[in-house]
Amino acid sequence: MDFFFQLANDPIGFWSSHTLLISQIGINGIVATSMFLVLYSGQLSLAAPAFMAIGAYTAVLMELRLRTPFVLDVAVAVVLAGVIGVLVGLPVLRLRGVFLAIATIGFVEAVRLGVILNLPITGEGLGLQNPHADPLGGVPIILVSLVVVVFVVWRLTKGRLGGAWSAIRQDEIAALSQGIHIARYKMIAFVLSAVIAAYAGALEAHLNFFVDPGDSQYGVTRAVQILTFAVLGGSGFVLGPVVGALIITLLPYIFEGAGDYINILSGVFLIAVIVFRPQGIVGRGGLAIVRPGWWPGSKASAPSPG
Amino acid sequence: MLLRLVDVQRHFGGVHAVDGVSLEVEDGSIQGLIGPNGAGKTTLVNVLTGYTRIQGGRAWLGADELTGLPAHRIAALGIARTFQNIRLFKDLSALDNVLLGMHSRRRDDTLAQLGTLAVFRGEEKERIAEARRLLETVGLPPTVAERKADTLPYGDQRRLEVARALALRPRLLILDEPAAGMNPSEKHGMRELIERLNADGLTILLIDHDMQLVMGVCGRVAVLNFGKKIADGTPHEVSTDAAVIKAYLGTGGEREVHTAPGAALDDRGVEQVSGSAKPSLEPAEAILDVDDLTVAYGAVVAVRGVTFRVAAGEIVALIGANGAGKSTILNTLSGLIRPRSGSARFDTLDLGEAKPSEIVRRGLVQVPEGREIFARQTVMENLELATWARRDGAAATRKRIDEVLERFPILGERRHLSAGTLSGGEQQMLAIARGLLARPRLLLLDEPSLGLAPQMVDEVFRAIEEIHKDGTTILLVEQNALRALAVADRAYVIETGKILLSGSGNELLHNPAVRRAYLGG
Repeated sequence: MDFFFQLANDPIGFWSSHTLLISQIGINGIVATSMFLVLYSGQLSLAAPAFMAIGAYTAVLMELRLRTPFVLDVAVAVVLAGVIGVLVGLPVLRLRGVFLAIATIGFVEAVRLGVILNLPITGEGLGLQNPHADPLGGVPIILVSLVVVVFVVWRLTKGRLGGAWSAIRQDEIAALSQGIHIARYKMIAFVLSAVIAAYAGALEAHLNFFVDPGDSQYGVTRAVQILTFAVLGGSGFVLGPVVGALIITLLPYIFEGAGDYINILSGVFLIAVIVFRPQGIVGRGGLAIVRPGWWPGSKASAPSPG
Repeated sequence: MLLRLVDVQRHFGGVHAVDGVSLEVEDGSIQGLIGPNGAGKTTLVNVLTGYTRIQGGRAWLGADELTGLPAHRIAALGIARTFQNIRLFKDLSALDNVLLGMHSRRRDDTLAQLGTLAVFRGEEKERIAEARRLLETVGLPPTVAERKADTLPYGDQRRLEVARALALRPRLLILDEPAAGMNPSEKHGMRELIERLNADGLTILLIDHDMQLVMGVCGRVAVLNFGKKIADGTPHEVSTDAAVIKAYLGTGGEREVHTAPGAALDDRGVEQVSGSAKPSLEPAEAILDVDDLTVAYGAVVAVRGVTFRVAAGEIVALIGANGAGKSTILNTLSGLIRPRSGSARFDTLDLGEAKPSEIVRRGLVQVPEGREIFARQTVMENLELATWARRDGAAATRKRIDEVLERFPILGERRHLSAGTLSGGEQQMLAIARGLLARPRLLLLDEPSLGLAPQMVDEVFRAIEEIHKDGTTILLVEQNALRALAVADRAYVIETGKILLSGSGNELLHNPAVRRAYLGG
């Protein structure tokens, strides 16, 4: 509880002693927003870590080899991710639901195992040293970026584009009958999400002196973590996944007194949220808690027809 | 001509779902499209709205050719539709649902949303005002605008779907069973709505099983059967057309169409015959006793106060058009759906309370509509799976399967083929055989002739009669009325969830009221 005690009593000291943590929350918040976009348009895509890797490696390699300014590095990384997003999206977005999830996991593994761990330029699995990294200076950029990204995505969900996404998510067939070009709007969401993930990846790489090609960074583990942001926080509103990212990034601090049992406690906490708050923490119904059907004393649910 | 279809084709594998249909819909008219279950109506709609690719023929909406266009383009050209099983955007408010309907004629505002937030506010206000007007047009009170779509009562959801379709400003509105599951007063309201929209100049293509509705509002009606158009004309022409009557009521095997109810008899016959359809026919000793049974799916009441009995050794048929509530009755008897009120007893067992497994164990076994066999398993595996729950021991099981295969020699020949490769009739036999393995005392058959060619229908019914001779009591649900009446000891005609009349199979065969239950008029 020291963590929260310090946050409450000495915010300035907290800020300077937890800069990296705050940056990480910001990065995860941006990635969570990228996840929100695909989920909001009805696509269970887990491709975010691959686009983060593309963003990170592109930016760092440009910095190391070409010595270009950071802004240009990020811009190129983001554009490249967008182009790759289109190329990957063309075949993959015909898939739905869990099939799309599996295909995008395949893409994540192909980028990490097939490209990053194999090419000399990316360090062949040893990672990249990045002496130009700036672990402390990135915080303002990251937090401002988070706010901008969340704002942009929030505004997009309110317009014609967001309406189409919402319709596709709820019922593709009904969306078709309203004249909504499903493939186009899915592609827009997928590519935007790729761009945002790459942006987060580039920023994240800029924080560390070492770009680590491990599974927990750019692999399936990261994909599952990002999905958990959205599921825990709720994917109905833009802020949901961001709140999910905040909580999950803070979990080690929330349960810091638990010592060796921290993973067990974190797991129990996540399961409890899913059971009692299936729509996520930020969602319809205020802060109401759902009482599951098997809970003692709850009314038996009505029999389903057929 | 607003809509013109020429020789439209769509096959699924070997099934000719739509087989060379030509259809013309006059500008400003209400065109009906009817046909028995599986006739290809929905497939035709899916083809002309671009949901399913057209495989032959051409289609025009006014001067615009629709052939080969994707669904979103066709919608933008001005064909709006509603869906048989309501497809609203459930989590969105009623108003948002209607607003989404304006998608295709709305300017893109992505950049405006990012920049100055108020730029598009004027247009947005206009849109909201229009959406509210549309809700009013379809007869929804302003209070529903902010409510989530799936919290609305059933009838209001249907209306909301119409409002969303109107938001597209369509040239042609396709209503796919808009009155399905509605009670009489809701149906009346839907009918008024359809007439009002048409009076405002909208062309409507109406698909529905409620013949009173279709025959009442449509200027012309086209009839599909097995993917082909078999009639097209005024409601009166169509409802007295011999081919249509045959398509709806089926044929009694060797019997010819001219003995069909209403085809030969005039209306005088009704009074006489229905006078003799007295409940005195009801058996005193019944193994199945259904009393004032009412079943509902949420707000939709499918079965309204149905009372009937089945005695040991009988074949009893429940006949009636699609959507009359027949399958719901069977599913309630099997314990798959719980009744809202009333009772159903099988001997001493209360079917409204008992577990489905207990019901089967006591000897009440249902062969479901659509057969529900395991297509990838072999015939033998399908049969073995059916005995799995009985735990009779391998020898007894073997013997039982052999007995059943003797009854259906064709299944014996095909025992090692996967069930999905069997013809429709053979699959139906397999489904019945599987039912027999549970040693039923009362066998419920749900639409055994569904989708079968006439020859196969004969064979399936022959098998049913043989099973009956072996001592099994049978409760049969059929759309193919003539065929069912020919084998049934007694029958009940069901219309919109109620028993319309009852009598012996023979009496009903010659009762024109049966035709009316199917075709209205």
